[in-house]
Amino acid sequence: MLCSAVIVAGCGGQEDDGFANRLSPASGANGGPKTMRYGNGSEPGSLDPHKASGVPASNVLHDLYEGLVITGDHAQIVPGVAKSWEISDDRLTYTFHLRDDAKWSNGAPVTAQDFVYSLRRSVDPKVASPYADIHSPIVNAEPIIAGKKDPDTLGVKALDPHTLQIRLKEPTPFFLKTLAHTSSDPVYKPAVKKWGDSFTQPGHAVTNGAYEMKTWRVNERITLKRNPYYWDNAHTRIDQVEYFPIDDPKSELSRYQAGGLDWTYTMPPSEIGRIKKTIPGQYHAVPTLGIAYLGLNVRRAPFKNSPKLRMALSMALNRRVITEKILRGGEAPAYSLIPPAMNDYDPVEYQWKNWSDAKREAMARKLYHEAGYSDAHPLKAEYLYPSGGQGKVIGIVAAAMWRKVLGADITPVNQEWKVFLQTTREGYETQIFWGGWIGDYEDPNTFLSIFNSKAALDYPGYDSAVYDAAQEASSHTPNGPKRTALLHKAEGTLLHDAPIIPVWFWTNHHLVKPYVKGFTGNALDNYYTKNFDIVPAGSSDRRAASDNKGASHAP
Amino acid sequence: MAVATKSKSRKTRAMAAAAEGGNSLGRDAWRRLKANKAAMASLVLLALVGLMVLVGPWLSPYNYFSQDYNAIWDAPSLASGHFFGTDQVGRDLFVRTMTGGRISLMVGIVTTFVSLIIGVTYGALAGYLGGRTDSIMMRAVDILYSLPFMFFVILLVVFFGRNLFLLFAAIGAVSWLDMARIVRGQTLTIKSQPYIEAARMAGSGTAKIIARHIVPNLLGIVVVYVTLTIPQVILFESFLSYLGLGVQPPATSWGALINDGTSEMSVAPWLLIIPSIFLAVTLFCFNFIGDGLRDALDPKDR
Amino acid sequence: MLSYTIKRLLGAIPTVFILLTLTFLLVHLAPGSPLDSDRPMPAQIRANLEAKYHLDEPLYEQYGHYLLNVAQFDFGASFQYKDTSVNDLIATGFPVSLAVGGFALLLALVFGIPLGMLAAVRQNRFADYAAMSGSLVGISVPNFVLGPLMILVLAVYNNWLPAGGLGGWQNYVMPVIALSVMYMAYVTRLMRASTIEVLRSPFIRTARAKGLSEARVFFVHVLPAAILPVISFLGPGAAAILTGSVVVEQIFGIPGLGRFFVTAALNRDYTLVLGITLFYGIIIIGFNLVVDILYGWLDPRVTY
Repeated sequence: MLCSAVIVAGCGGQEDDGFANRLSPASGANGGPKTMRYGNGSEPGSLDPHKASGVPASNVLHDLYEGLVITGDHAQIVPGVAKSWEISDDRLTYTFHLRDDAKWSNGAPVTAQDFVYSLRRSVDPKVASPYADIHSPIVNAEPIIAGKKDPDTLGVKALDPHTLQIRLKEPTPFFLKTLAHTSSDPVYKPAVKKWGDSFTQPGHAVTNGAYEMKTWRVNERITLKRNPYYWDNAHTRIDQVEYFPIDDPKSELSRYQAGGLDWTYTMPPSEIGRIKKTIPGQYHAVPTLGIAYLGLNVRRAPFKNSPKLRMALSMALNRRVITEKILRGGEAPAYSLIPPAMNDYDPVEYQWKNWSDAKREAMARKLYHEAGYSDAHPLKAEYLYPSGGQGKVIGIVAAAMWRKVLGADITPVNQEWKVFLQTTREGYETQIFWGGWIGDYEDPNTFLSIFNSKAALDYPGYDSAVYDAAQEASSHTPNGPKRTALLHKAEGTLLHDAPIIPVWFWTNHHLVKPYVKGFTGNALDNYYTKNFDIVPAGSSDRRAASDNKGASHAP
Repeated sequence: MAVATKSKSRKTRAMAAAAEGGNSLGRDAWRRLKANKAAMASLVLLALVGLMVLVGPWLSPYNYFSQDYNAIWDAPSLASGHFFGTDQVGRDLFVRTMTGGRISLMVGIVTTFVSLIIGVTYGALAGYLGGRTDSIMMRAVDILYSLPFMFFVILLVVFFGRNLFLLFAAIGAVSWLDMARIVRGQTLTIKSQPYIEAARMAGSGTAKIIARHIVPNLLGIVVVYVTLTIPQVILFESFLSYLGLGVQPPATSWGALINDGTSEMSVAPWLLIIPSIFLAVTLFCFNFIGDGLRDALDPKDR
Repeated sequence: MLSYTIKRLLGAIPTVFILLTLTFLLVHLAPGSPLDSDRPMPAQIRANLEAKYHLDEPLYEQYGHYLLNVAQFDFGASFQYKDTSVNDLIATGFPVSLAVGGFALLLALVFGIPLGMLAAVRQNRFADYAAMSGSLVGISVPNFVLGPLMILVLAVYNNWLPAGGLGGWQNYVMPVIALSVMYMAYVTRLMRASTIEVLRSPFIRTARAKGLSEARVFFVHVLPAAILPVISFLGPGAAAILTGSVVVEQIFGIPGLGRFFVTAALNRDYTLVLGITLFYGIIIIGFNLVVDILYGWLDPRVTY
């Protein structure tokens, strides 16, 4: 019929054309607003900093709101609305000095009182922010979240319009880093009061970042325009930002290639090899703070009280085959919990990391036999993974490796996403399960705290007094050799007990058009469009820069 | 594997059922079917696909689950023994297409048969009885149409676990709705024909009128609709796997292979093209056999 | 006919009520909660949220709340898209799906009906085999394969059309084709089969014997009778095509209603699932009513 004829004809043509890759930005060269077009994964559930969750929402929020501190090129903390701060000697009181020129997108000044309101709102149980617990270092945050104290009792105070004081319950070495998280962003009180849940919509939203809302069409795009009152507006070069929610990486790649996007959220893993060859220089692998692991439910048989069996399963996995042959995206094989992308920390690693395959597998078999299993009595268990994503292929590969090395009989079983979440959260039925974690802030604590026996994410049911003590102590010890020792103790204990099998460390994949300037990958994969520029090929950097000055006056 | 042993009887049963659909005209119809070249060629081709699916895996040195990390995305080649190439983890596509075909053919035939029986009976009854009964029966169909099917499947898995029977039940539960509506519509026009009136005058009961006079006159449309249903259910099966029902890896089906193939289309096109060809050929066969059967069974030509 | 229509409209009320009740039960019985996410929240925050959405109340109370809101045409706030309401999501999504689906339906009918009739007239000849093979290709190439293929050829290798998103008319070309192919194949095949039936039936022989012109026989006698099965199919078919296809909308990045059917269910967005189901149910019931009325009009012999 009609369409099949078109396809056949088109397919003939593609061979001569070779690989297409259009290199023209949306505008900028011909006088229109300079527009940065991002592929942004899925549709953000909310653009309220205190209700949002997920990477797509935080990408947009980074452009809309500016916290006391933000992150820099290497994920380090740099000043945001706070131009400087002091920390008291007991490390319990933080005093922030706010910029005088920080303004909301309606021209009103951003004051210390705005932050007091916003942080109180963020822990308010009525708002029920999914990230409220990130503020638990602050005085009274925990009882407020639990509904036992009034949000007004939070340890946050405006000393004057431009001085903010935050008091902590205990010294917390990573506290500043939690302030760079979007749930610490300020919101504009009059807008929240006036519009309620819809205060984030274009026309309602008042923001203090480099951009403000222009349009929002669910499942199509979010458009931001320049915030003319932003304190650093003069140095902001891109006029307009568009975020396209495109769930399917293949569709995203097509739109990038066809010239509809300047930046992709991710890449179909199977295409990485081809893309590297056909459009060199546009693919960027960004090692990030994320780990993919297989969890072992230690609450019940067969993994309860059987560290040898757990270690045998862990050692039987050939992680290099998984990362090099299956994932092919430059991921690092994982032999520890904390990703190597974490700055200022050297993880503890399994000593068998560098053993030969034969030696490692022999040891795995030995432990397997010592745990009481053999070819006559093989381990029979289910591996549970959610539909969609990499859990499936990893399960197929891991099951084959376990069968080959140990003779274990592991059946991959999938569940629909929410069923999977409920099953793993409850932890009754699970045996081996797919797991992953992306750090919320750049400190080892964001990884270590999830396996504390009191944590909500402790899906394996890991419960070790030694681990809990080391982890808790480390979160209140100032950075230095003493804290490093505690962190190492916690990580080492976890690796030894093996409630999880670390498989690989997350690498994010982005395609970035060569005319986008200023992109540097960082461990948090956090970017601010205000740091980027679009310089079309042919126009020199200098001319583009002078163009920008002209453009920056336009609101 | 249970699948292998079942599929032979499954085919003969489907054939027998198709023949029975026309009631007492078995031999006569078979003679006329034999005269239809397109239908006979399709029958032979379909038998060939069936045979390949059954014995194909033994012709290959590989099996459907073994992985070879040194042979990832190998192109089809006679020399390596990977006649259809390999997939993302180095599994042999030839064997996977053959074993996947067993599941897909079974799903296609069994669920279509179920939807045929339920849909035709339900639709013909509603249309023939008419009035309030028809209203209630068709409103029930409207409700079933609109219910969010995903929740139905998820609950099925929760309450009954996962097995092949459930897969058939779940697909059958939706695929008969279209059939019922179309059959009911046709029945409405047929029931006012003079010969139905005559049969009623002669004292025939409802069941007899439906079976003898209405259903044979519906065959044309029903046969077409059956051939349209088969590809739908075969592809639908892979969506059910996503919800946790149906074929689980490393086992596979044509629907799952095509689905996976799309995501590797530009790296290893054979992963998409080969299973698609098998599906298409099977559909062509079913289609021409269906047309032939319709002509052979048509009461107006008798 | 009028009294029949009124009767049917009144009958729709209990139908919708049963649909709503069954759906409410289904979504609440299904495991997984709208509050489950890959980053689990602390128990206290979860409890706070459950209280906020009344999820901590007994099911019948939740159902009562919900019915009260629905009676005022308020489907509530979406769980997933927290900043907007279900009403708004449907109101912005439906027009897009309607546009894509409407054109696709038109295309399917404009090409499918003549093609099917042509095939029937030339039964077992070249035109017949060509039309049937074409429609079989249409059925056996699922749109999740056809869509990406078209994008690759028409947008990536050749820059003829945009690869996705909304904008000008160019954005509609590929989704409309991808969506219509399967329906076109259905229409062609149903049309062919029913035309063959009709051509063989006695009243056409009578018409021809009366010496009516071939064109008159065809358009006045054959077409109205032969189109009935297509219309039967279009009841639910049109409802489905006009409310959007998940696959097509996903592949082409179209912000239609179809995507919500699946994403809302996957997210256990109770209110959105219920809102869409109700909306869809009403459309189905409406179309089926139209179909039944058309039936009576095209074929006066039909009685209900």
